[in-house]
Amino acid sequence: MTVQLLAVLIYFLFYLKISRNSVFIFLLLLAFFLGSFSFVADNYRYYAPQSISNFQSQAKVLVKARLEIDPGDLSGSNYYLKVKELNKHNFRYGKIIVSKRCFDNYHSGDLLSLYLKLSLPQKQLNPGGFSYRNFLKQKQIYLQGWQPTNIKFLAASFDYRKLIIKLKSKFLDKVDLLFQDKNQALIKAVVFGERSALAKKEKSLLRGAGASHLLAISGLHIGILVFALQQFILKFFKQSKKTLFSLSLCLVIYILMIGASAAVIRAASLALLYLWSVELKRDTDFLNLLAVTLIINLIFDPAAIFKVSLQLSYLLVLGLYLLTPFLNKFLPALLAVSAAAQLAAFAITIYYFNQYNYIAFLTNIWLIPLFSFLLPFLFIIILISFLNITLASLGAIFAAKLLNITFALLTLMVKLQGKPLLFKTPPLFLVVIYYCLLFYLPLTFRHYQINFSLKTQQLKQITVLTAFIISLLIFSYQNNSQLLKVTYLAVGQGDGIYVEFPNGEKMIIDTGPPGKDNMGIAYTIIPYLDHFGIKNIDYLVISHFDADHVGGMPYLLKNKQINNIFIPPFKKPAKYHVWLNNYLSTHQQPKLYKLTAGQQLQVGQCQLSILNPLINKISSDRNANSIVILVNYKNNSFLFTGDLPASQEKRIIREYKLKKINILKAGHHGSNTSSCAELLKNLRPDLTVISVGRNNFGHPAPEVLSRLNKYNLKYLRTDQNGAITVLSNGSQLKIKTFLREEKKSKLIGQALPELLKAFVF
Amino acid sequence: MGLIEILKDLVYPEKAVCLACGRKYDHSEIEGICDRCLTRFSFITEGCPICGREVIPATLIAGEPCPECRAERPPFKLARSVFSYSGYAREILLEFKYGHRPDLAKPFADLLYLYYAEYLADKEIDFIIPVPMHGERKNYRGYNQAERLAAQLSQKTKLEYKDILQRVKNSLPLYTLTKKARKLELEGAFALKEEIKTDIFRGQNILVIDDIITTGTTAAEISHFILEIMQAENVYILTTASVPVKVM
Repeated sequence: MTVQLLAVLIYFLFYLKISRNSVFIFLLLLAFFLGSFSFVADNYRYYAPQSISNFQSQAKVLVKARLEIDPGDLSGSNYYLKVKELNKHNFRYGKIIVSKRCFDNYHSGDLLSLYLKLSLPQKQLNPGGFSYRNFLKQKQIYLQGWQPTNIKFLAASFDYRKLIIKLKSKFLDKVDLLFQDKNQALIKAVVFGERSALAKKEKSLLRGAGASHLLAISGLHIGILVFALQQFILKFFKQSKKTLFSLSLCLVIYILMIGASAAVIRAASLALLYLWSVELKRDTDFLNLLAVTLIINLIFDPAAIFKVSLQLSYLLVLGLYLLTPFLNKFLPALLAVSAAAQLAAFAITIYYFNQYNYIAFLTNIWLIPLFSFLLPFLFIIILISFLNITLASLGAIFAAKLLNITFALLTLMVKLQGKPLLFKTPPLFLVVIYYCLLFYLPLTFRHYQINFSLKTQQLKQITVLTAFIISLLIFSYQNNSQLLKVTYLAVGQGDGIYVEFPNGEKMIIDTGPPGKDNMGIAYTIIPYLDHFGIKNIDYLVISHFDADHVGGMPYLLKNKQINNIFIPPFKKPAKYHVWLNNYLSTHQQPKLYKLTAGQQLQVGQCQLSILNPLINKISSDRNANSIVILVNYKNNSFLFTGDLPASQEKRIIREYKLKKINILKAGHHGSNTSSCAELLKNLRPDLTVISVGRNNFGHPAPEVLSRLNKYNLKYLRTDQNGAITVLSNGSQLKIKTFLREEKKSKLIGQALPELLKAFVF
Repeated sequence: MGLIEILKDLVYPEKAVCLACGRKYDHSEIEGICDRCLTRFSFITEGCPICGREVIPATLIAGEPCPECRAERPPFKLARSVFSYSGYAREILLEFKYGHRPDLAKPFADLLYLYYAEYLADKEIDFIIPVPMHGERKNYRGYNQAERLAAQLSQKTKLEYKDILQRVKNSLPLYTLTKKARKLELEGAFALKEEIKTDIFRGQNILVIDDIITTGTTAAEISHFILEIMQAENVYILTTASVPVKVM
């Protein structure tokens, strides 16, 4: 689907601009054919019988594999194992990702035998979420390996990576020698593509200032380097052929060193193709060469066409090529370049990341010239350091000053911007329309020598311009469905529920576990909210202060605007109480309220009744204090019970004489301490949602599941069904789970290659 | 070796060459003539509404017919020309006419087509007819440029091309003559080719193609012929160039 749409887009471009050049379309079609074919092949490999993705074992597995180290990511924490055998069975396809800790003594290319625990990577469970499984699958990594033991070295073999790594380590050592901590990391990232070297803080600084293209070594880098290198080498050889050969060689080694991304391959091959064209005495056509680089990219990485980096990179270049001359009519050159880049990046950025750092427009205006000087300068310093360390360190002092200024300016940019703009994920066709209009726009402003149809042209200009502006407006359009929407997100072992009331007000009940570096919430609730373009939360309810319910709160407060926060009363402050107290003493928002049984809230047409905790019976067991909310919307009712234990369940049933409800969130992640028979018997929920993830507590308890089955009650689990969304119009309910049958894609993966075979043979 | 050449052609395809100046170019509105050359043409967008010639100075007429058309209304319905016969454009046209450059017919026909689309597309034209050239002169020059233009244009417009006229009198080259002498010289110059029946032209709209309008004598004479002998309803004239009408 994506491919077809992209093909249509490209065809559209071609049709408008380059009808003379039949080679161009031929190349593009070739590229897309190659892309689709290898996509099918990739899928086949994943599902093939010889693929390790079919191998499943709870016990440790004897693995025979070749170690692969990515020279582009030496500071990262992972190595890869290209599998030969699992438990003595041969396997052909797939790699295993492992932590590099236990592999210090081995080199890339070594054949090893070891014992590993294997697991499939996490798949996407929530709308807007991240699929680690697909991310790895695109790199032909199908399994994760844990706890390696009994590592034995079998044989060494030649691997070009070993040489590259050796060379790169030498460079990196020099960087360590010349620069200090913070700059070290940045230089490693910016000059040698060691993204993992950067701390999270610096990464988010660069991203926030709209300078993430520096973070990922980009086409710009290569452009600057090729230009600098060319000048330099030309001085030595005075002969263009030798210069070209050495330049090409240097570039290839450098690309291998930094890890080839789509943008890098594009820029490098484009630069080389241009340089070689002079030697070959041939004309160049930009779009034609761009199509060639696309093919080269797809040869390196067939799945690249589905990756953000390639799509962004090519759209950016096309945007710069088509839009800059056009914008230059109205703006000075530097502004025009920056504006063209922003316009070209906008829709695709929104589509993938939802956030748009508009300050990038300003950042790039000063950053690119600065960088064009800084990058070759850093290179020269590092090269000089091999000859004369004193001279190099003098240069390094100067460079460090410049880098400090850069950091200060970047911080300023982030401050200037405040929060980035947030958009809900637009439908794909809107993105395609956006680019069609954007690239068509400059053509309507083309100057014609013979111009009768000035009026038609003006009409065209106005139509395209308005259509373009409308498409921009649609990106920011938020509609209100007039429904009550409750989404039980798959946050791992914990609770995280998003409620959107019919009047548009938004509530979050619990924030999931914190996870390492806030990964818990940062990969679940936040992307979900971003996906729907939600910036403000009116009510945040923390049912109780256990980490798996409150853990994401700090991150949520920092990233979204929360107006009110509801917590249960407590006896002894927990860790997060202290944190919240500190936070509230320095911030205006949110307002804090304590909820107790008997309180009523009216949100739009929804009635929220608080059933627990009792104000005079605050227990020292935090679970027993869980806020319990009954939401009534006309004839539909939802009960949210936190981690309420059975004793309290019985109490609320008796005290409030609760009768049938529609949706129950099973208390305490399906633990046997909750969801007692009395509760289930009385409530007879149409659906019970168990919010649960991988855990050591045995949630959900088999007893609870059998109890649900006994009363013939339907249930869904967030760990198996992904996010569960319930929509209510007050009388009818619609239930959607994020994970549907996986078989469909599997079927396509297997059927297509068979089909192809049938056609070919 | 062959494979490398094919690869080279794929990666670095040859660019088109401008037929007028011989240089390679990236992009142009008209296939075959580059943008740079086109800027040196003076295209007529506001000429006399009848004979389509540029009037110098243009402010004098402002939508009214030029003095020549006012003095004597030409027999054709209207005429249009692409550019004024002067400067660089004139050189290229002369090249086309006398320089044995039939390849220029294609870009010129493309230009004609633009003007056809603007002024004549709604006129319900039935046939395209070129101004004929005397056989001897055609032998000498190699081809009739008007025929080439008309044939190309008929391909683009999907209108029927009819080469039915012939020049029976090998008149003197008109550019040597005055307007009055031209008229005399052209009298009885046109005739139908043998065995051509005029029935199909009765009541039809005819588009006549020529390379240039100088004084409009040829256009008038051939129009008379088509209207009277062939009994056509209307005659329209489309030429690549025309000499401007100078108002003193």
